[in-house]
Amino acid sequence: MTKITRLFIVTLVLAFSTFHVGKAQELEDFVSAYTGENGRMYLQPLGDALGANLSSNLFHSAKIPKMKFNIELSIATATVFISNNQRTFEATPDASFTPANPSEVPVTVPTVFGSTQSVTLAGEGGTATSFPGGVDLNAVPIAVPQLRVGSVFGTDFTVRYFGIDLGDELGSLNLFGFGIRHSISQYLPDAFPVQLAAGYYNHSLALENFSETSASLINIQGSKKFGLLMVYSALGYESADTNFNYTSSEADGEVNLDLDTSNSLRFTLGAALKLGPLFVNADYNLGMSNVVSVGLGFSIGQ
Amino acid sequence: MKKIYVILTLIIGISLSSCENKIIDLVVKINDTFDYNADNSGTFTDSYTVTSADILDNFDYDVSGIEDVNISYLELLVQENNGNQASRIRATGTFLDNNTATPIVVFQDLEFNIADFSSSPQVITGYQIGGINALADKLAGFINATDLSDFTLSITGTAIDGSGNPVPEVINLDMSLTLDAEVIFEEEASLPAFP
Repeated sequence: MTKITRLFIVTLVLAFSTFHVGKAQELEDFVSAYTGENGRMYLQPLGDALGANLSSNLFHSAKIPKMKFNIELSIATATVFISNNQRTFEATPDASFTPANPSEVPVTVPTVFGSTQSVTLAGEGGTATSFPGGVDLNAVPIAVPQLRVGSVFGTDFTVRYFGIDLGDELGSLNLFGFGIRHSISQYLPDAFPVQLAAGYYNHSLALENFSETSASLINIQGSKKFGLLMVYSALGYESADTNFNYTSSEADGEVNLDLDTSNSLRFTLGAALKLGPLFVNADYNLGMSNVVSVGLGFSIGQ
Repeated sequence: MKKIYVILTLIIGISLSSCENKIIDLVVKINDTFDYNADNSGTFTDSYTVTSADILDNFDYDVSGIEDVNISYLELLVQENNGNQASRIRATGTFLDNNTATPIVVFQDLEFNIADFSSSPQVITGYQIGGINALADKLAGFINATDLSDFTLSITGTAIDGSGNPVPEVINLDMSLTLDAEVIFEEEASLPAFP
């Protein structure tokens, strides 16, 4: 493989058919000028987006039979929307750089999702320092294959997996996720008006030579059926951690950035339409980032 | 089951497919150090001839669309050798494109205590815009392969006392001049477009 649009692959890792490669660009070129805090703030929105996407579209019903074989295969898509405050950050130039006008520091510059235009800060005597542009994206989608199998004692299991070899420079791209849900409704009276379940999910998304994201979500799920329509909701607690490794032209060596996304509550509200074995679902998530999810799939045994 | 999976994948893929080409400004650092020796009484001059290989050997990037080259800063590290008597120096740095005959001042009348510059590199002050621009243009010529002729960075100095007056002290110093520059270049990437 010749060079590819690396950043694009990271941001849209699993939306495999959504883009075409233009002129090649190495992912490291985007961040090579950055180390330390500037690098962390440049990449933080990417870590946040990946974490939010991975923890989305994990269920569309809280109903879990107590003891019955059932299986569901689907494509789960999620699209995180990039807010304005995720498109810029306040950067501080290298301590050895002398700005012509110190009041201009810190300087507002693009994050990885920000404007494609670089920002240049004038220094004393004709010196200058520049901050790279971003990819100017308003949203980041992913699509992942998802398998759910149940149920034993009101418990089912969810697995996500995706792997692709991106060549020698980037190595392999692997996503693995698992989840476990347990029915709460089985302990409640049959007359209880909604189905309830508790779930825990953990994901790992690794681009072998550049980044690794882990995301986890624990939530309480609820759903109620109205004919063919299932309305569902959840309240959960999510966290994510992304680690980037790259070679910096500034630090003259490997840079390791560990980005922790602030833990936050996540509220989900959605609906699913079931037609025989086929279903389609859509939901909206309020959390560390706002995410819209759409899923398509089929299920047997429910 | 496999067919359904493939169909679902294609439907979602097609629904998300939309790309546009974008020009993105990227920045790559250049950081090189040049060594000098000052060994004289009262004053000194030493030069370092910088070749394109000095700059490009550590520059492993494909940057066909250069927008600009910045000189971000220069730093100086000074180590005393045996016999050195000077404790304070006034120094001036000049750039000479080896295609031309006229040196251009890059920094002027930098006064420093040797002790202050001996433990870690210190930022240079007194930049001169003409020299900084000439240096940036030369680096751009190297990277664009439009001008690969060598250039010379020279440091001229005088031993001075606390009041700035020249003193006839023996100067015997090793100096390292670090050049930190940035290359801003454009790259075209095909990126997703969302309504």
